[in-house]
Amino acid sequence: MSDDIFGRVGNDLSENAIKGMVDDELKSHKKEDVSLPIIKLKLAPTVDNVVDIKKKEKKEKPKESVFQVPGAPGLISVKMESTVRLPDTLTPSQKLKKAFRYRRYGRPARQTLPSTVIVKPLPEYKKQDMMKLKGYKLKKSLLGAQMVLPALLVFLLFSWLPILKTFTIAFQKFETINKPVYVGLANFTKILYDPKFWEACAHSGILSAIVIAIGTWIPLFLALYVYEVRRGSSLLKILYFIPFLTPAVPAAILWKWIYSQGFGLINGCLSFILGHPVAIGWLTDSKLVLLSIAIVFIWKNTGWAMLIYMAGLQNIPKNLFEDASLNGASVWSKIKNIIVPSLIPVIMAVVFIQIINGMQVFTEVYIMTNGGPEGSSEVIATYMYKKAFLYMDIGYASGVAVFFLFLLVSITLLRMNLSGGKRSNR
Amino acid sequence: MKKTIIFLAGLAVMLVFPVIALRAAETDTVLTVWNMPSSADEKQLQVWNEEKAAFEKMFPGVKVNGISREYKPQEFVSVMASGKGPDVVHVPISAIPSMAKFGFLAVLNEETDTWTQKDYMPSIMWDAVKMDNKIYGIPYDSYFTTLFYRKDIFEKCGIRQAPQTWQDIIIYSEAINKKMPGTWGMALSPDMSTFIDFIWQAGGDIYARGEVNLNNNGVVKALQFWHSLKWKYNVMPPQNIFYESDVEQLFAAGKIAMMPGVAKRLPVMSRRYGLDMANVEIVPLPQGDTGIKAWHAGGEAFIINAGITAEKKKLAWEYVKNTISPLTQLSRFMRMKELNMIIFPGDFSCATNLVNRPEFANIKGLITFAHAEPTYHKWPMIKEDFNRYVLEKIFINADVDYGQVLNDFMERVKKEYNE
Amino acid sequence: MAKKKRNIPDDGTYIFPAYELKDRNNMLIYRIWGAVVFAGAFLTALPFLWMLITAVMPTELIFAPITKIAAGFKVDFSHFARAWEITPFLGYFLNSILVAGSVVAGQILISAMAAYSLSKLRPPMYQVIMALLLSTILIPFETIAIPLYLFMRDFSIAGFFKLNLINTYWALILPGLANAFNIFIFKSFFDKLPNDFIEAARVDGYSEISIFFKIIIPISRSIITVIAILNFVTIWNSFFWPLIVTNEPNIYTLMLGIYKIIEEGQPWNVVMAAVTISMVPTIVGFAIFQKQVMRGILFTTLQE
Repeated sequence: MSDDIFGRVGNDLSENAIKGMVDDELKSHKKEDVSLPIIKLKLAPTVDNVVDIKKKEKKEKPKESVFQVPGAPGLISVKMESTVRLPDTLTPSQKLKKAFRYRRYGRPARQTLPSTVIVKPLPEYKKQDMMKLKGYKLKKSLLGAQMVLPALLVFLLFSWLPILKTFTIAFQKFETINKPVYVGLANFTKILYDPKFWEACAHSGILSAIVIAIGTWIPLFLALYVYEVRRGSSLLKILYFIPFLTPAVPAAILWKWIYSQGFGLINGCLSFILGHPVAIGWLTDSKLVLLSIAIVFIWKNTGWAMLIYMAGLQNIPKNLFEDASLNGASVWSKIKNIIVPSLIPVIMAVVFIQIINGMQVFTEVYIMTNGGPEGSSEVIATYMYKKAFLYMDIGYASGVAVFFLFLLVSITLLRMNLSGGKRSNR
Repeated sequence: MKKTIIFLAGLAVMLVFPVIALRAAETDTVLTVWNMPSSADEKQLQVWNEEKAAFEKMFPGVKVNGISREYKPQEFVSVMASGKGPDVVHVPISAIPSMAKFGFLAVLNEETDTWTQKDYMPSIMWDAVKMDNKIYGIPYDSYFTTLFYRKDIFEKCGIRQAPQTWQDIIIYSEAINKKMPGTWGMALSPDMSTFIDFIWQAGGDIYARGEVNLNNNGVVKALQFWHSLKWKYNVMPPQNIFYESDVEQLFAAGKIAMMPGVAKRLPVMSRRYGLDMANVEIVPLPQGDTGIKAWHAGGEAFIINAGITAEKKKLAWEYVKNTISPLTQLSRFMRMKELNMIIFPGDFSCATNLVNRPEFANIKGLITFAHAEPTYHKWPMIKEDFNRYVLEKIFINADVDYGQVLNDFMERVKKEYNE
Repeated sequence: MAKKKRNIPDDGTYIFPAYELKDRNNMLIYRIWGAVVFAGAFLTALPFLWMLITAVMPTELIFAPITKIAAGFKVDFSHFARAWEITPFLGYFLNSILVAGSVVAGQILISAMAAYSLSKLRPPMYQVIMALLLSTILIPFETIAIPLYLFMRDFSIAGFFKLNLINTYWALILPGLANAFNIFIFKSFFDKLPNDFIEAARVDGYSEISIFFKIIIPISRSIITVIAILNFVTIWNSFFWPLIVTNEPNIYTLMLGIYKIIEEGQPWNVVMAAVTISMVPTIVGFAIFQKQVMRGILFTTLQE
């Protein structure tokens, strides 16, 4: 199931690009009779089965014919193909489009031929240009090296050296402007026995936990409705989506004001509704503060998660629901037995992305509480920043960074493990 | 295709633009100073700009690059450590010891030795910028904690006299709250800079025999008082933690009648939050029952970056000297009068003795009772921790065991800072 | 997508197909569910509404209870003027555009070339390069921020170009260029392009470089747009890194700039006016690129 979803959504873009090209093609060659595999039919529920199978076929085909062309043998076979079959009257770009189109939507004749058969009729060509081809291959790989070089340089300077330096500094006593001194594992032992560090870890963990606990189900609940909504679905989508794009700084400032204990919107509304003054310390109560920050997170991410769930919903075969309806299944059992199980890969993606974002939070906490009250919202990132720049202990901060790195890498690896099938397929 | 070309061209322009923006080094010497008033204070900024122009006229070829910034320790460190810090900065004196310890500040003994104006400044200010007989900063303005109250609210509630003792604060607040619901007596932000006054007044101290000691009777007494203000007598608005700007805004909006404050903040409150100075009275901070008069002296000082060249340092010193010089101060005073601005001591050097002005009549001469914060380089960090783990705690929790809290805190301090 | 749904109301519905909605129970659930969803949308938008209301609220009402605000409300746009006056928005805005634009341009050029090379040209040590690049996806930026800060302070490439880049646009731009995720998005896109496509171009006499620039880049325009927009948004919203490496207002990005202005202490209505102004570019951008943004977010999230 998962491959299906990822395959389809993944192809979405390139398919669109291709579709656009095919449209162009159609416009330029109106005489040719080409049918496009876009289905625009309204079908009664009973016929739907048939449609589904058809859809599936179409989905599979491009995958086989286009997207998994083998590397080296394909090189030769393709060469022959495109030189032989394309008419010379076309311009190069039209030729390309045409070649591409044939690949994309296939010719039944080609499909039946195994690729080895195509290579066979070309022995002399191959013999003649063998040397040339070899030189060419080398040239190509050299060019490849050239093209990948800038990226490697950038990554060396701004990813690899820094991470190595993080590790070296972690073994040093380094106070911002003084000369660093090697101290072995001193920083790490200090970290291990530092309750504040563990508190910060716990806070990050709790924050992520709240975000997932609430932020996974609410969007699903919304997505199910918005996907089916008869009117106003794009309005809903946009309303839910705007917070996601709102930059963290204005969002944090805005929420700081909304959460204001004496004069904020929330407490104001509550006092109005309940009729007596309410003063809940959203950001000033050490028990509530993480929840309040998590709410900002959820507010920001709901639209995003909803969008992803809706994409996932598109890939659930509809006939399952028809059967369920015929058997008299209730709304709840449809959700429980069909939707949730088939959405699991998507849900996992949402959960893990939220965990990682939650662990890395800095801006919201820095602006809204700066770690307060009594340190109950200090998270790893703010703790690291303060250690480095307020307490000026860069060695210690790097030690924290190393811990942090291991933590996040293990989360990511866990995620890869859980969705391992998907990875290995690619 | 055409679109693509435009797109690519756009990308290329964007890539090239930073190169153009980063022009070659300018021919003028640029002196970066961090004492510009915020753009929110237009008139003050205007005066400052005029002074800047005058200075640039005096030293041709020198450009002053003014930057307005609130002092935030962690951000300041990252700036100074970058090696591209500003040349002259206006910082609270309490920041100087730790900055000096980490080598960010230039030693100014040579310059100040022959500087006659030195003697006009209070010695308490010089003590605060000196470590091991090295002078790291030039005091600019000085202030000590006082109490501001709103005359209009007091009048409405029939209160005739300024609060004299801690008890008065409680009584007045109750009266105000009764007469004007929605208005409270006082708001306190969990900040050591204010709390320290109460410690001293309660007979405690924080620094003895070269060590920070916050576990004594005075501290407990002061904590108890603050805790009772919040939880027992309902003196404060229903908010656990106030930041400095919250307190100031509430005071300016007439939601609280009193606040402990320093004269430095008056300009901000009057210019930004619209506080009408006619409604404000400035009196000494009420005393505790011990009768000890003690106020916390603070101030701001100019410091010069240690990382700049000798030439630039000379120039920076000239700038500081020029800014503090009686002539500049006097012309600033005249100019501000001309522009109909309210005169606050915080705008002027402490050598000018503006405390003699009528609005400060109530607190004149009190600086003799002022105490300075310890010049211990880890003090700012301890202060930060104290705000966080002690003061915020008593404002959040209705039930606190003061002894336990202080014990825990001292243990933490010992572990963290006494290596 | 939405359009299709409106024409054919039943297309794509799962749990509430039209014929089941004739059932009274189902209709009730559907209605309640809908009410909750629309209420949620209102709640989501409420903070923005409150932001606008506060921004036009007279100063004396800021700390008043809600009933009083409703009674004595007056619209006062002067706070916007004030916010505009005290904040050099235009400069911050240009800085943000400059930084985000340069990062995005550089990123796209670098990662598209690298991805094309990895996908179609197979450089030597392909496996090693792939592993090296793949592993950087796992590194969170916070963990390398401190060494990067030190590196920007004492910048040099193999002993040359010794510079202090703190407080320059370079410090904001350079670290953003290393984004392995883009490479993988591009690579997965290029992997799907058939080889004969490129071969055909070779036969037509295109050189390798011009294949890349004249064929591959135009073909991948849609994906470039998506990556560009998403990265632009990320850089635009970034706060942590500019906070560390810049300290002069003439180089602040928009996000850092409004943070600094607000830190100075302003009344809440001016603050909210400033926040509103700072969000205008985002909203306008979203209005223009709505489709690409949504599609791109889907694409990148599910590619991971």
